[in-house]
Amino acid sequence: MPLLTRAEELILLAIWKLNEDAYCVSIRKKLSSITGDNWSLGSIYMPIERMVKNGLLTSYISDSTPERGGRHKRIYTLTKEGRKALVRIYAVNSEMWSDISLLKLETEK
Amino acid sequence: MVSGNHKKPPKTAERILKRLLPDKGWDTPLGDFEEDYNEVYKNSGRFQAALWYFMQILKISPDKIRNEIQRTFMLIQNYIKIAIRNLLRNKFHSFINVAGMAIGLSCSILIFLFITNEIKFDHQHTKKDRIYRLIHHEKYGNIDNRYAITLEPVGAQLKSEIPEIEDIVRLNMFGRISVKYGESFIHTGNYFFADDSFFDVFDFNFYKGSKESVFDDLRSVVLTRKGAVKYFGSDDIVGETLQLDRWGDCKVTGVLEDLSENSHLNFELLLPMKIISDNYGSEGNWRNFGYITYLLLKEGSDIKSVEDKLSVVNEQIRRGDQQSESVIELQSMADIHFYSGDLLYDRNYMEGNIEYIYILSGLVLIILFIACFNYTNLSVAKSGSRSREVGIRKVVGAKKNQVVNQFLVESIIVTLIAFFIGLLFARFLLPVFNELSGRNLDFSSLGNFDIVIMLAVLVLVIGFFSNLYPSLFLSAFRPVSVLRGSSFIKSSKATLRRTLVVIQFALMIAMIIVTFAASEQMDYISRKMLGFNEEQIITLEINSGTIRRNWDTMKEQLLQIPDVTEVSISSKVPFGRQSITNSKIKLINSQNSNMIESRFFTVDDDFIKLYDIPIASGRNISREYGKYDESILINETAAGMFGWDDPVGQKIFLESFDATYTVTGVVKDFHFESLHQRIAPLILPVRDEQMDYISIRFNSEKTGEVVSNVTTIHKNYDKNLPEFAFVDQTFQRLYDSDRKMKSIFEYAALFSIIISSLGLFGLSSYLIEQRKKEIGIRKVLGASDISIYKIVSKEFLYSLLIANIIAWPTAYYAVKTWMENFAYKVEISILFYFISGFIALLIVSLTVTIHSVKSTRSNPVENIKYE
Repeated sequence: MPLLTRAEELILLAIWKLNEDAYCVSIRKKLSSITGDNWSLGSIYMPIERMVKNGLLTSYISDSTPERGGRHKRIYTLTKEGRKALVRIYAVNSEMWSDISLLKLETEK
Repeated sequence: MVSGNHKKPPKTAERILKRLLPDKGWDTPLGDFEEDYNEVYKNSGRFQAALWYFMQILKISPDKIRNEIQRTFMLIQNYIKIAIRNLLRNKFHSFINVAGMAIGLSCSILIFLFITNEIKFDHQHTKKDRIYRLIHHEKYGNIDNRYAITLEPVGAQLKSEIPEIEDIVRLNMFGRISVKYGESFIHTGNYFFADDSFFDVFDFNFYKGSKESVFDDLRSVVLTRKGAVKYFGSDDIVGETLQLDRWGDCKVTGVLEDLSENSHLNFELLLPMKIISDNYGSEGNWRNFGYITYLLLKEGSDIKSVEDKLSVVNEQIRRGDQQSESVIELQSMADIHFYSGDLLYDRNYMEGNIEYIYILSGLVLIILFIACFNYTNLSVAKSGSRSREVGIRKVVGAKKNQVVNQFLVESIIVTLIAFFIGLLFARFLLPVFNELSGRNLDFSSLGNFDIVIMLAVLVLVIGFFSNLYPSLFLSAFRPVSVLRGSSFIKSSKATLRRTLVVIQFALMIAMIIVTFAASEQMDYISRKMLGFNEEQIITLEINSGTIRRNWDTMKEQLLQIPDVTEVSISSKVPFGRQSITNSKIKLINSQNSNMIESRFFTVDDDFIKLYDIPIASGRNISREYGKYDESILINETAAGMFGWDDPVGQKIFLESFDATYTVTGVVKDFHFESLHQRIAPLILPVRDEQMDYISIRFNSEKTGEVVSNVTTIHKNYDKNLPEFAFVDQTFQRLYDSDRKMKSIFEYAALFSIIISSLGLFGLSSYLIEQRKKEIGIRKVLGASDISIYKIVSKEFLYSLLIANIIAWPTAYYAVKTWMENFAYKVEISILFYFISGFIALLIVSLTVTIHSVKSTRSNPVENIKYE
């Protein structure tokens, strides 16, 4: 299994943080607010679909709300594989970041 | 959240998005988008939100569409592969389908060409939608005539009163003109006097010269290339002089490209209208009747409001007569070709009949219907052998509509192949068809974009309909039962197949009956007793005063010609070029003092003898009795209308001559106008003026000799060459279009019979093949060939019987409707129905016999061990 892409990583983290409320709109909002970029629904759908296919995510249909025009939500949760993939990317990340001085990164000419 | 604030995204957009998004069954993504939509709405307003929503669709579409196309393409590729395999595997089946379709399509293409050609009549004139012809509708008591011509000043008057009129054109024919032709002069009626605006309103292409300057001179003339070659032997003749007997010399100022056969205006010569007023000074004369007048309306004019304003000339055209209700009406350019049948004094080239267009369209539909039916029939009959394929396809995941699509692709391929073969057939048949229809059609119009589209649609529609039922039928198979080999569909299939066979037979029988009836009616018309003996009569028009003055001498000379038995002079002749007109008459000593109207033409005492018209009562007009000049003959219809117990001796006042006549006899009705019309009341007064026709009866096969002798005598009185007409030929020519239609109809019927026999042939071969095993077992058990033949043919004969029951009333109704066009109808004997049934029986037995003989001859062992 290849490493997660950055987008996949962020989405999986967002879903983990959102816990029981991880559906596309909330994921999108979370990512948009944290990164400050505007994430579109389409840019989330594609990686989510891919990860569902690869078994990192699973989903179930939840309740409907009036602001969705009475439509159901599809709530995503991480599978064991998904969690493993996050753990792995965390290890890679911390290893990579371990001896890097942020100060130096910011001040170097 | 308060739901009142909730906003729904645009409905259409939502529907599109729904189709594009995955997650079928659940519409969660739609919900996502709706939530986001609301947020955008809140932040940036409705417009921005809607824009955002549509942008989402655009972002998703490309991928989706590409995928869809790719998948469809792959499937179609597979369908085509399978279709071709199937076509090749069942060569016989395919041959029948393709051949039937191809024949049907080639007929349709030809008739389609004919119809488009007819419909595009007069389309060369770019302003055609704004051009209207004036119809002079004369209404007075029982008089009700519509003329294609009107009074000379009507056009100009209307133009000055009605602002919507952009321009007017008047055409006139001042009798016929005599044109220098070789050494002598020849009469031609193939010309018009035209207003200068002619070339502004109508579109004609100039070969030499240009439209701006052609009529600048008073004495100018425009010829068509054909006319130029006829009179000058060359088409490069601008500046030459054309000698006209009565109108002087005219300079050729332009030569037109030969006129399209597809325009109601046809002429060789065009002269400026100014010549007439220059010669006669008749401009603005309200008694001058005879002008074909066209209006060109301004763009965007309301035709209704123009029509309302036409009444401004009522006063003048009624000439102050309180009883007259005559009016001017408009006829649109598009109606001139098809709807001018009832107009008097109409010079309408290649006049069409909308009825024929309907009949032909009907024929095309029937032929295509039969061709589609063949396909449907055969496919349903063969569905058993395809059911396994369908079963397997369904098991591996084909959806019902994919199976349907597969079969439709197959039939569209068949139709397409048939179409190209049909096109080839049509190409070969085109010269024959042109001969039949009297048209000059070519394939160039098939290149037009709209026609290509129409033909493509035609192929798709035929492909679609011919296999619609079988594909629905096959796709409904439940894979389990099909693959298990169960025959749960057998019985319903047989009923259906029998129904199809019955309909196909019925169509064939009806077609045969209708063909018989049509040819009977046409024969009847050409054979019909006209009420006089039309054979061996020549007529010639009198164009010289010398003849009229010296008639007695000339008559003597004509009678001297060997074989000439009778000679007569009259103002009109039956079926002549000049139509027979009406006069107002008044019956003296009658309760009814109103003017009534009757057809009339003047005759001499030899007329009814020459034409062999029998006398019903009274006597012929004769010089032996007194008051010859006041004698009149009437026909039986007139006698009936006038309501006299004893017509002989009654007196009639004839307004046209301002004279009173005494009836000497009643002649039997005879035809003098089209047989489409009932015989009109006719009166035949004696009068020495206005004699326009000489009739000569001869008693010899040597027509040429008689003609040359008459020409020699004629030369002494008139320097123009005489124009001969043979009464029997002019009569035949009247029914030219009827005869042409009849032969087209007969061929179409023949083809439909061929197509349906083809279908029958295929079907019977298949049905017998299905029963091969049964036949084999029967033979093994000792059945004779005859008894097997009986069993096989029973089903077909049974269907044939039912088909007859359906076909006869249908055909009867169709024939009756068609016959209503004719005033004189032939009785269609019930015998024809039996004969048609018999022909169908013959075709059926022939095909069934061929197949059953084939199957009974074969070794039963071969058939039984099959599988």
